[in-house]
Amino acid sequence: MPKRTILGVYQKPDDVAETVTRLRQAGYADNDFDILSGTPYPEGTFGEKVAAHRLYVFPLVGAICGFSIALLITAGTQLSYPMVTGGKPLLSIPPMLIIMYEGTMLGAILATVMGVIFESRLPRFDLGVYDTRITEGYLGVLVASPEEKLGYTEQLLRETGAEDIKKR
Amino acid sequence: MQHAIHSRHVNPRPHLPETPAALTRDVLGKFSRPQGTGLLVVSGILVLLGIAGFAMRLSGGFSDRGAWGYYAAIYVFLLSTAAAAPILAVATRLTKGYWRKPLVRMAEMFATVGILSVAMLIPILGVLPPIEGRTTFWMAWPDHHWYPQMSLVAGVLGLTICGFGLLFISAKPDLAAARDHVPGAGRGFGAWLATGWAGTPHQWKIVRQGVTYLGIFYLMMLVGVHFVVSVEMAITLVPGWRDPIFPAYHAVSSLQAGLAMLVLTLGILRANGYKEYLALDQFWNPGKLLMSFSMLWFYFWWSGFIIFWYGRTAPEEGVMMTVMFGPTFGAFIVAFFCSFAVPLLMLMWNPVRVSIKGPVIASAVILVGNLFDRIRIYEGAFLVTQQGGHFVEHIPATRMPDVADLLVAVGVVGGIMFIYLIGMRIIPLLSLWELKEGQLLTETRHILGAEVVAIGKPE
Amino acid sequence: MQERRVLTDIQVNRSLLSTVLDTPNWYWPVVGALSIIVGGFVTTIILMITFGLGITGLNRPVFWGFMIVNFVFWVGISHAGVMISSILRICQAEWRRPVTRAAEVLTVFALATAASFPLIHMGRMWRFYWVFPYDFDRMIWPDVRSPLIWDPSAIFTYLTGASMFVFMALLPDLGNLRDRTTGWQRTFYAIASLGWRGNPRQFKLQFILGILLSGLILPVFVSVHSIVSWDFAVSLVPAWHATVFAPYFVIGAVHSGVSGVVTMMVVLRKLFKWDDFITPDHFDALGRLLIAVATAWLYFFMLDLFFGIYGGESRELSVMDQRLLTMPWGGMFFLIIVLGYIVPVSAWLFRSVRRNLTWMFVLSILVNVSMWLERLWLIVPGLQNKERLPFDWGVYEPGLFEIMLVVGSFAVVCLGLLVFIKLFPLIPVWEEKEGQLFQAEIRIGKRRVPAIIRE
Repeated sequence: MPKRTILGVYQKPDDVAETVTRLRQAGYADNDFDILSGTPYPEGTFGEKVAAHRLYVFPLVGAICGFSIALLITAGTQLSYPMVTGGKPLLSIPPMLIIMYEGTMLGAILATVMGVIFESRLPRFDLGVYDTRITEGYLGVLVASPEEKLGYTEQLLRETGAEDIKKR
Repeated sequence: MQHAIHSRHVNPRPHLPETPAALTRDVLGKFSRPQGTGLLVVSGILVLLGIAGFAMRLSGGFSDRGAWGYYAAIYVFLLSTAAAAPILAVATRLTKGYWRKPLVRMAEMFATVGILSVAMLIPILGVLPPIEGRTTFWMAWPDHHWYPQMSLVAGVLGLTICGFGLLFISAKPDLAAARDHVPGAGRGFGAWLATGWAGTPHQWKIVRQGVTYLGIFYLMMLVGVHFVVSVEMAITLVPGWRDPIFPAYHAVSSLQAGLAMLVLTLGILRANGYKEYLALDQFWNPGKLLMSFSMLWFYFWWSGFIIFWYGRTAPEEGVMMTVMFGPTFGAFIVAFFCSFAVPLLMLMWNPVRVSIKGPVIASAVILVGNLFDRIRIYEGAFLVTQQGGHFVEHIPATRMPDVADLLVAVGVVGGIMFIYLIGMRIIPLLSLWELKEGQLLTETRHILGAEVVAIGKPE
Repeated sequence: MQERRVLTDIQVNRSLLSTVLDTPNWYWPVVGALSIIVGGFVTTIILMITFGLGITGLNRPVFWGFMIVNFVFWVGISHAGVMISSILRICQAEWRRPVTRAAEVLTVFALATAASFPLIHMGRMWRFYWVFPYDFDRMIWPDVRSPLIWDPSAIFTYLTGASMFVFMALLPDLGNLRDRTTGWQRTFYAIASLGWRGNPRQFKLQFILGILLSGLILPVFVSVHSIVSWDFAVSLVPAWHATVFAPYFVIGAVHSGVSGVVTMMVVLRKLFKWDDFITPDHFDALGRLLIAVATAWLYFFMLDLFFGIYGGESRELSVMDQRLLTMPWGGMFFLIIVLGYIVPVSAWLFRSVRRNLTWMFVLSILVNVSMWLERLWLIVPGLQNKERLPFDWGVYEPGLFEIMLVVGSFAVVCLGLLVFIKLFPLIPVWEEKEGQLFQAEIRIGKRRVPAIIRE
């Protein structure tokens, strides 16, 4: 069944909280609606589902990759061109640790950034239904509604105080 | 905003009695009926054992410096843990950490252990060698033989007096509350200390400023004491040891161990009657600090090590052998793992750090690490008998601790407990006035569906 | 703290996005003037490439002069940014909001400028890639035992991390700008914002990113200046070979960097009239922080000095003699202590000074003058020390080109900041709005106590 997206633009946070309650009563699942805002509200302000994520895996994997690559480079370059410099051992571990540390951190940082982008479901090339007032303090409630429930949903949004409705 | 990852089973914040009156009753009730009488007896016995060990050590005389190495290590362990524990109270007051309120007094109470630090210093003064013929910090005044001893005494004594002052000023309002509300013998000596307290705005101002300034002073004294101790009891005993980071390393590892000592104490107190006051916040936040201090331990150690490893001059090789890879190598390995690797790997994980048990166990590990760290430094340095010269010419052999050393170690642990337990019978273990202030400044509010807490932070 | 007015989202947008959406009168003339200086900077580099490093004052035995001093100085400035923003984010200090991005952007530009100096100093800068293990044909590799190889790895990590941090925290504001602009600007911001919409999930991840990346960058930040210090300390040059160098450099970097942030914030507040966002409270808090930082710096400074003399080694003593008792180094030592510690810290002890913008501006400049001199004082006397062969005796005399490079580096950083301000908001708009939402007070009797909100 094709789904249409409908956006209600609200001015008051209380109305949005009310809308979320009404949408649930109307049989919408947590994944069927989303709230857009220009300000981070405390988690659960509107009674929305708390987003689950697996971000913590990313830095770990990144760190392991960075560590391995740095280990390979530092150990490999020393062993494959054995030349004593400064009276240090051919395989000098302390200087390796420094570069391995930087490699580990670089891997972890890059992976974290990628993880945040991925978990935020970005990049998103098509903005979809959107209203620029959201970054001016308005709030948006975005509902993925089945075609036949569209009218009912629009009615619901208007009843709960939506100042404007956009559809696609 | 704090998207907390609270464990579901523990209260994130302390559950205090609702009204100031109920809070006062509860705190003073705990004060007038203290727990731990059995532990007091046990620790008293341990102290006696320690005194026996000390007598055994003393019977050997002062001339064999190597024999006093473990004693010195245990002594510096005491200075590094008990004397550094009040710093958390100082630091969180300065930064207005809202979670500090239930634990500041528990931290400051460690200032009482200063008595032991002063007493145990006395024999070390006799063990330190004369300054003739060796490099010392007193190079410009070669005729003053007792400068190392004098600076040690001045430092430790000053720190102890400052600690007592800090404890006294911060406890005065609470002692007054005890004076007014605890009947009969429970008031004790503390009521006498509180004489003259009426709680006028002027008196409050003095308490606040006194606590701040004495706290800053205590921190600076502590750093100074660690400079003097590490220089006079370790660096100058080893020929060729020129290591500017070492006093800083010493102070940082001591802050780590002091914090660990406090967190372990908090864990014990939580299991014995202070559960409502010590919640997740009081373990999680110090847990974060413990984790960063574990990294700092490595950083300060490494910063010194890498320079020596690259320099490879004879003095540097000698120092590395003396205090790391020579006679005290085993102790160094234990210190390395228990001060750095194990606690860091433990506390890196959210489920461990964000818990009660995690930071407490990590603290116990860190304390072991710090003891062995002090052993590798002071036993190593005391074993060097060479007077003068540019580098350590003969690396000494390992010397295992004997019965006297073990007894002294046991005695110091007992002594810390004993003095602490006596202290909490004289001064309330909870900072009542700061808890009440916290009650005034905290409100539960709602932003639509979300419950939040507003915490006031006055200037 | 936080004696701020309550502002609506539209008001916040208008004030904070004004730097991007409108151009003040002074903007283009200033950019033009800075560009001329940057032109001089670039010309100097070209001359140095054409005629060789011989045109500078560098000669035997002093081969590390102003360029390396400048490198250390700018790496130092770059340290404030991340330190301030990361520590404040981790501690969730409420007053961080207007400061974080400016500090991070200063980090990025200062670090990029710093990184250019070793390249310029190399002489044949087109061979910079020799630090990478690229030569698989002949199997000739860079020597990882050399600290000069650690430097690029640390700086690359730090620069990447800091720029990523700035970019990721910009996403919500880029979305905001996309909604405020039209035409090519809208296209640019739409692409840059990656399609940000601002649902709870995205904001939650923004928050976690702030904490997580702060936690990851802090250890990197410590390592970067430590590695810079090891460039000196792992050698056997007298007065360089000191174990304390790593933390000493780091804390010195923080001292100069936080002062740099103070300077920048005073200027920004004046230029853009951000009185509602950058308040005397911020300077008060930074002033207190600086007292602690400066005292820690002095501690390490003194440790370095004491132990330099303590060993009684003749080479160390002769450098110390040069540093403390011979002009101009002795005078420099005096200036470093007076301008870097005695004057500013005794002034910062007073609340009225900490809350006075003019004072804070002047003091922060003094600190950085002192810290620049400190690097010079640390680096050059060790090299100038008279070793056994009189053939190698010499005195460093910086030439015009080096002075031009120093002046030019300030222009490069300022120009970078101005260009950034034209393209992106320097105060995080979304964080500022969050701050407005969380503004709270607790009333007790006649007092209204500002409060923070915790979940």
